[in-house]
Amino acid sequence: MPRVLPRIALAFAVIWLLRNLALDAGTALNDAALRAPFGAPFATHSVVSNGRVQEVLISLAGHLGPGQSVEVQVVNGRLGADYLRWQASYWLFPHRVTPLETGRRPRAGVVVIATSGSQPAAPDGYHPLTIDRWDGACVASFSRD
Amino acid sequence: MVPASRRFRETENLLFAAAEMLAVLVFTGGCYGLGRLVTALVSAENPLGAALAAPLGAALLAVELWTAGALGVPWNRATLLSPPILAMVMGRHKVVRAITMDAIGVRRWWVAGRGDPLGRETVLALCALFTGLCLYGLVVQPLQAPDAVAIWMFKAKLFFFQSRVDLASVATEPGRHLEYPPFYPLIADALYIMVGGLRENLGKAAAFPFVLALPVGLMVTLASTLGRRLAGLFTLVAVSSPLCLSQVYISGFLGYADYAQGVAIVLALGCLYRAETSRAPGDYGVALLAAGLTAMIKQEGMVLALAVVTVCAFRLARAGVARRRSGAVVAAAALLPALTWKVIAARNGYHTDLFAATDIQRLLGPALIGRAILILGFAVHVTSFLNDFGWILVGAVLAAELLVLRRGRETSVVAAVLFVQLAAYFLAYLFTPYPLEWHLSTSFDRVVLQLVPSLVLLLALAVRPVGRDDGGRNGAGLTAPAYGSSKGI
Repeated sequence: MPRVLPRIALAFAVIWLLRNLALDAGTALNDAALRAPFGAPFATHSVVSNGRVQEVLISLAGHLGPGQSVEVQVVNGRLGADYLRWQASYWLFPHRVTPLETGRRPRAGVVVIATSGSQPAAPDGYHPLTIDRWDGACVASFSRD
Repeated sequence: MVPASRRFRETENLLFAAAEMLAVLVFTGGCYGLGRLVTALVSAENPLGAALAAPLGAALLAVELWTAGALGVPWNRATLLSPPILAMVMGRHKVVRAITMDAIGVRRWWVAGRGDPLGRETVLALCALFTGLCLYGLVVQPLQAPDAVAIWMFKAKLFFFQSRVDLASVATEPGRHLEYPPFYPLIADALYIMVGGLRENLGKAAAFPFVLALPVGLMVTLASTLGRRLAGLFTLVAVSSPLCLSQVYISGFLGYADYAQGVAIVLALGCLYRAETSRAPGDYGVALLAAGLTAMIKQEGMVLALAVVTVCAFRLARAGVARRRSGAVVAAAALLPALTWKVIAARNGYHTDLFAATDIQRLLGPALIGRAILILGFAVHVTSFLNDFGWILVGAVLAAELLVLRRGRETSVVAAVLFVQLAAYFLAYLFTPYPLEWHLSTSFDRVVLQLVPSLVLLLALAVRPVGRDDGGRNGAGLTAPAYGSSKGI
C-alpha cells in the first residue's frame, strides 16, 4: 500500500487538474461579464445578475445634495434588503445610508425603494426622483419636498 | 451592425483596461522590489523570499499608509513612494543581488528543463494564462459581491476619503466587521494612490500580488523535492481551482480577501517547510515574515501565524544568543502591525463576534455535541464531485494517509500547523453566536478556499519520494544553487 498510494495520489492530481481546466474553460467562455466587458463603465455591468442596481445607484448619486442622507427599503422585491443596503452604502458613499423599516415614516433626504415590478408610491412629503425597471424589478428614489 | 459610436466607446474602454492592467503590473513590480529588500535582509539565501516579496511589499505599503494617516501625513504619490524608494536606494545592493539571484534561478529552471515541454513550456504557459486571466478579471469584472462592497472595498473607500484609518463613522453599522485588520483595504488604497484616484473597478486588484505569489511559492517549494513536472502538476492544481478563481477571476466574489488569506497561509507553510528542512535561522526568519503577513489579511490568519511563530521559537531556542535575538526581532516586527491593530480594535470596542456575543454557558454540554454533528453533517451534505469540495476532501484524505504511512518530520510539522488552523475554524463554527446553519451556508466555501492551496501543498509533500526533503538544496533550477547555502542550527 505505501508504494501504491503515491501513484494513486498522482493519478488523482492529474484527473483533478484536467477537471479544473475543463471547468475553467467553460466558465471563461460563458461568463457574461467576461464576454461583454467593454460596453459598460468598469466596476458595473448590466449584463451580470443585479448589475443594473449599481448603475441605478451611480446615477442616483449625481442627484444627491451634499450631506444628504439616504434610507433604503425593499418591498416584496427580488433584491435582498441587506444586498440593497450594502450596494447603496458603497455606491452612494459618502452619503449615509440606513435601512427604512416597513411602516416607519422616512426621515432622510432621499428614500430608495425596490419592488418586484410595480412602481412604489411616493412616501408622504416626498416626490419622485428617479425610477428604473428591468427584468421584473423596479428601483425608485424619492426626494423630500 | 454595431454603431460606430459604440465601437469607439468599446475600443476606448479596451485601451483603458489595458492601461489599468499595466498599472497593476507596475504596482505589483514595485511591491516585489520592496518586499524583496525585506526578505533579503532576513535571509539572502532563501528563494521563497522571491515568492513572498510582492504580497509582503503590498502589506508594507499598507502599514506605511496606516502610519502616515495616524501621523496626519496626507496620502499622495509622494508620501506613499518616498519611504520605499529611500529604503530601496539605501539597500540597493541587497535588492539588486536578490533580484539577480531570482532571475538566475528562473533561468536555471528554464535551462534545466530543456527537452521537457510538459514540465517547462506547458507549466509556464498555463501559469501565465491563469495569471493573465486573473489580472484581466480583477480589472474588468464588476464589483458587486456583498462582502466586497460591505466590508473590504467599502473600507478602502472610507480610508481613502479620510486619508486615515478611522472607522468611527460606521462604528454603529452592523455587518462591517470592524475588527478585521485594515491592511487589505489599505493595499487597495495604495493602488488608488498609484493610479491617481479612486477607481471602483481597481480595488479588487489588491489581490494580484497574491495571485502572482501562489504559483511562484508552490513551484519554489516543490521543485526541489518533486522535480519539475510534479511540482508543475500540483502548482497548476492549486492555481486552476475554480473555488479559488471565484475570488480573482470569475464574477461573483471578486473583492473578497479569502484568496489573499489562502495564499498567505500557503506561503507561511512553504516557508516553514523550507526552514524545517534546512534548519537555517534565516529560513525561520522568512517563515516568521510570512506568518506576520498571514495575520495581516483576516483575523483567522492570526491562529496560523501564532502556530508558525511557536514552531520557529521552539527551533530558534536551540540556536545561539545572537540568532535567538535576531529571530525575536523579526517575529516582533512581523507581528507588530497585526497585534497593534488588535489592541486598537479592543480599545475601540471592535470585538470579534465570536468572543463578544457567544454565550459559552448555553453552548456547553450536550448542545455542543449536537452543533459538532451539525457542522460535520453540513460538510458532508455540501461535499460532491460536482463542486470543488469532493476533490478537496479526497486530496486531504490521500495526504493524511500518506503522511501517516511515511511520517516525514518536516511534512508532519507543516501538517500539524495546518491542523491547528483547521481546528480553529471548527471551534469558530462550534461557538459562533450566529445561527449555525446560516453561518455555515454563508462562509463554509470561503473557509475551504483559504485552505485549498495549503491542502494541495500538503498532498504534494506527502507524495514526494521519501528522503528527498532537501529544502531546495539539490533541486531543479528554481531553488538553491543561485542562492548559496546557509548554516543550520
